[in-house]
Amino acid sequence: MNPIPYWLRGVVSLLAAGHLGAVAVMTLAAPSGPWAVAQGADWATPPQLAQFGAEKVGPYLDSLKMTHNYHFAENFISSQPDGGPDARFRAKLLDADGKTIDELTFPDPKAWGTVRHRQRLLARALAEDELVVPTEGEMVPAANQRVERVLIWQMGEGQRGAVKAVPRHLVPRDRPTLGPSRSSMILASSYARHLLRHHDAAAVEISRTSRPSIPPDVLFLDGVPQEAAFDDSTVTFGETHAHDGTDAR
Amino acid sequence: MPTTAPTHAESLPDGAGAPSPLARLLRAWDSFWFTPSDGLGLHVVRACTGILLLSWLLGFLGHQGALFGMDGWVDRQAYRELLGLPEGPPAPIGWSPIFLASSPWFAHLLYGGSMLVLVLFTLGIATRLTSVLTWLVVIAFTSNPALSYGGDVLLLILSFYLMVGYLLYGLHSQPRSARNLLLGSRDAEFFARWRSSDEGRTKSTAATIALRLLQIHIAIVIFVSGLHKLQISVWWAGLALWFPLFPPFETTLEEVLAIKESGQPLLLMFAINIATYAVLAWQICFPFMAWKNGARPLVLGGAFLGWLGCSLLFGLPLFGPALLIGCLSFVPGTTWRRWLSRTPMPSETPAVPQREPLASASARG
Repeated sequence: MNPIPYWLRGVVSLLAAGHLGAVAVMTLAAPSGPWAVAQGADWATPPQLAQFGAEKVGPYLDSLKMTHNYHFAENFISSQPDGGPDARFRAKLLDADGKTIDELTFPDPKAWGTVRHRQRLLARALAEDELVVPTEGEMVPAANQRVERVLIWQMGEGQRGAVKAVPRHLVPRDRPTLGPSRSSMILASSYARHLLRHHDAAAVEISRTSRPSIPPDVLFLDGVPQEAAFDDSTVTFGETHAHDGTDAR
Repeated sequence: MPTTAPTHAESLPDGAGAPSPLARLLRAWDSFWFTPSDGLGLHVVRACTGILLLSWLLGFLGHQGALFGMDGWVDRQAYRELLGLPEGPPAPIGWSPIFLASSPWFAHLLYGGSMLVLVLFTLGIATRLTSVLTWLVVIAFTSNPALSYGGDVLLLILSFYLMVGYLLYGLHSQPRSARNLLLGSRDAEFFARWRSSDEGRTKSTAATIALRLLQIHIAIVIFVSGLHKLQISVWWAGLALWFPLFPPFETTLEEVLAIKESGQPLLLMFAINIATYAVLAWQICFPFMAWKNGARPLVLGGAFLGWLGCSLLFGLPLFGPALLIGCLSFVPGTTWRRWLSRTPMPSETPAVPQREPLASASARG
C-alpha cells in the first residue's frame, strides 16, 4: 500500500488547521459577563479581532451546526448568574365560559426523564426576564403614531402578577421593573397553541412560578433570614384563545 | 484508509545533521495527524456514540411530534416570530431536516427512520452511508431553539467527526469496489476483527485524522468551558455545587438552617469548595494532560465522575456521557485491543462442545 502523498497530507493539514482555527475563533468571540452596570447587568462585547474572525467563519460553522462558543448556559447553574431562581410552569385549560377544565404542571413528575428535562428547559426559557428601563421624561409620539409600549410584570398581592403593556415612560421609576423577554412571550403563546390543538379547550392560560435559590450565606448569618425572601413568585403570560393563533384549530 | 505502510514521519526528508526546529515541527505534525492507527479506537467511539444516540432518541418516544414537529411545543408561527426578533432566536436555528416535517406523520416517519439509521450505525453496518445519515439525524433532533442545550452540542461534535472518519475510512487502501465506495469498509462492523491478531489490517490514517480532530475539539470545549466558569461568581468562590445540591424547589429554609444548627456548615462548605475547584482544575488542565499516557486514568476518571455529577447532581442527561465518550477518543486503538483481548467474548465459549477435527483426534490415538 502506498503511503499518502505529501500533497494530500498538505491539503488535509490545511483543512484540519482551518477548521479547528475557526472553532477556536468562535470561542474567543464570546461576550463576557454579565457584569454589573448602572441599569442592572449587561454583557461586554467580545474582542474586536475575534468578532471580525467569527463573522468570517460564521457561515461555514453554521452550515456544520458548530457555532457554539462553549460558554454553556448550564455553567450558570440555574440559568442565572448567582444560582438564581428555578422555574416551573402551569397551563390552565379553560372552556368558553372561562371555567377551568384542567390544569397541567410542567415539568411533569410522571413524564420520562428525557422529556421532563426538556420541559425544564422550556420552563427556564419562560423565566428569562428582562429589566425594563423607563425613559427619562415624557415621550411624545410622532403624528399618527402610538407611544412605544413595553411589557412588564405588574405584580400584585402575594408575589402574584401578570403581564401588562404600558407606555415606556410610565414604567415605574422607584424600583427595578422586570418584564418577560420577547422570546419567552413567543414560546408561551406557542406552547398554549400546542395545548389548544390537542385538548378540547377554548383558551389556555400559561403561568410561571419561580423560586429563588437559598444562598450558602444563610449558614453564616447571625440571625435567621425572612422566609418571605424565598417565597414563590407567580406570573401569568395571559390567555391564548383558540381563535387567536393562526395555527390553532 | 487501512494500510500497512510504515509511519510517514519516518519517511520525511531529513538533513545530514541534526534536524532543524522547523523540520522537527513538521515531523511532529506529520506524526500526529498521519501515523496510521488501529481502527478499533474509532469503532469503539462509534459504538459508544451510537448507544448514547439511541438512548437519547428513544427517550423521546411518543413525544416526537410535540418536541420536534412543526405543530409541537414550538410551532411554525413561533419559529417565524423567533427569527424576526432583533436579538435573534435563543439559539441559532439554521437548517435542519426536521423543518421538512410539515405534518405530524412526517415527524413520526423521520423518527422511525432515524432509529433504524442509529441501530445500523451503532452496529457498524454501511458506515460510509449511515455516518452521514447519523449526523443528519442529530441535526434534525437538536434544532429546536427553545429545547436545545449544551449536551446537544456535544452530540453534534461526536457525530460530525465520526462522519468524517467513516467517509474516509478504507477509501485509500481497500479495493475500490462499488460496495466499499458506497457503504464503507466491513472492518467497522460490530466485533469484526476486534480480536484479529493481524493488527496491520485495521491500521488507518482516516481513523487517526478523525480521532485527532475529535480530540482537539473536545479539549477546546472542556478548556473553554472551564475558563468560562471562572467568569461566574459562584464558580470563582467555589460555591457552584451548593446550588444543585440544594435546588430551590426541593429545599426549604428549615433544612438549610438545620445544617447550621448541626454545627457542620464549615465542613460542608469546605467539601463543596474542594469539589468545585476540582472540577475547575480538571477542566482547565485537560489540554495539558489529555495526550499523556500517564495521565489517562485522571482524564477518564475525571470524565466518569463528571458523568455521575452531571446526571445525578445537575440533572443533565447528555453532558456526562457525551464528554466521557469524547475522552475515550484519547485511548489508542491498540490499548482498546489489549483491554478487549482480556475480556472473554460470548462467541469464544461455544454453548455446545465442538467435535475435534478427525486428524488431531487420530493423531492422539
